[in-house]
Amino acid sequence: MGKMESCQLIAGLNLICLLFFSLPAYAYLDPGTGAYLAQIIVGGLLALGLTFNRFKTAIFEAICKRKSKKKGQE
Amino acid sequence: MEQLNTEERDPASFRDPSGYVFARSGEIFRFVSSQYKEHYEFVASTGLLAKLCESNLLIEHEDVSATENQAGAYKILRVKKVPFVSYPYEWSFSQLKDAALTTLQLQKIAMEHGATLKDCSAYNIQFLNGSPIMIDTLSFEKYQEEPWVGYRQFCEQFLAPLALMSYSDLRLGKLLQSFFEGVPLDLTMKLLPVRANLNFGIFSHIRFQSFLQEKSAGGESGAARRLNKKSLLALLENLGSTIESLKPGCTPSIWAAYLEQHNYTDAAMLKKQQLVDQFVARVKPETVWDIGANTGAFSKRTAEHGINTVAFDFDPICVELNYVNNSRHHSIPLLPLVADIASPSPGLGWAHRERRSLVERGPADLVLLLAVIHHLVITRNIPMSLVAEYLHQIANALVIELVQPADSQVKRLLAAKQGLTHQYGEEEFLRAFGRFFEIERREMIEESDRVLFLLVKRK
Repeated sequence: MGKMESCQLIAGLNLICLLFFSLPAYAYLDPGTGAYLAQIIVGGLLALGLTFNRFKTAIFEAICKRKSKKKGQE
Repeated sequence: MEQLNTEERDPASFRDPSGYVFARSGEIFRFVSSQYKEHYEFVASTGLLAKLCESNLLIEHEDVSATENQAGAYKILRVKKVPFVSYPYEWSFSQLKDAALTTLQLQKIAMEHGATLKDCSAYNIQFLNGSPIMIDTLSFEKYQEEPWVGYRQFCEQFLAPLALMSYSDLRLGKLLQSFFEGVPLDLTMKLLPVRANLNFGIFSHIRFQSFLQEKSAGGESGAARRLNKKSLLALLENLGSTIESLKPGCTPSIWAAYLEQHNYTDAAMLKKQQLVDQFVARVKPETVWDIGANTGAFSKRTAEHGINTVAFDFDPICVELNYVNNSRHHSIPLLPLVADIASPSPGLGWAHRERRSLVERGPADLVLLLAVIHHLVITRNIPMSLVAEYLHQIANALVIELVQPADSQVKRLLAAKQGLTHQYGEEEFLRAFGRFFEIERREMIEESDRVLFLLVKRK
């Protein structure tokens, strides 16, 4: 599995965990349940966005390389 | 944990069971409890604390357990003293913004070392020579792939007030004084204009979080769920870019252009500067409070001589300009703060002792009160005797500029009051201040109706 795919999988798992699992946390500061949920959703989405951007860039770069290779061969 | 004499223990230091701050013989120490041992050892072993101290992001500290041992202590740290402790509700927009970005930077560096900030209190940040610095050495703990415990606190103590100051009005920074532990996110949404929702960061970290908070109310607080490091870093990145994008909001200010609009001639202004410099040199203060400092023309001069100077003004635009132009990254001991001398910062928090009032943070070796007293007596209706009594509490020596009733500005203020004012003039001034201070010098500022006094507290 590629690095990007595993990132997507982790982000997806985060969202699943958010919906199905919860354990008590131990901290002297009350983090707030809403704050935890917000982090998981917003953080997950942002990470997905980053992964998507990197994926997009990688595809563009690969296409450009192939094109320039072809031109070179011609 | 050993209970110290209450006079030694900092009354603000009790929330975190990992340790507390105490003062002894004029020095500041931090008691580290055995409860925090595992985290302290881990954080120290990663080199995080050393790196943060080197980068001037964490206050200098040294382990003095061998000489300053206390029962129940895992360690005793001697901590560098901050010359003047200030609070977020006294900061200008850019000070709060710099403090927020520093906090995010600390969290990112901590994560690089396998650690995390276990809280995100804005009160853990102080200003030292124009730069924000973390003062709580015990705020770091081992990072586990979990959501950030300090996220909500960060949003309530940094992002929410910054958004309000940016989108609505700079004066809303003072909300932190009423909402001591941070501005509630639901209230922030009510006060923000609708266009703020177009900012993804504001929408997601404030509105969405507030929505989820409301929906999950009554649920198990702090339910732990996994959040991988990449997601948390993306979240921190987005918080940072959101805060970077915020600019100080438009707020009316009649004082920001004061230096261009005053009624001094060039010679009078020069004479005033020379006299103030002479008076300061005579007192040789270690600390100066410039009250009604405007954009900091005089406080900058004392700070440039290495004197720890706090420049107070009630106008947030003036303080913002003073911070940005004279203090930020200037490496001089100048701290501009938003404070109204007619209603100074009170004691706040538990038993009024967690955040100290202005009086409790004094007295200053020297207070500058330049062309302010006529505003207190005439505009704010505070009798001269009460002004003198209060200044006696916060100053060991005073440089006061008394603007005479013949001055055009005073005439304008008096005309607006139609005679309904407390007694104002040099005679009344000498009577009121003479009770508490000795008059060392009296100098007329040439080409003006202004007199400069140097007063020293009576023993």
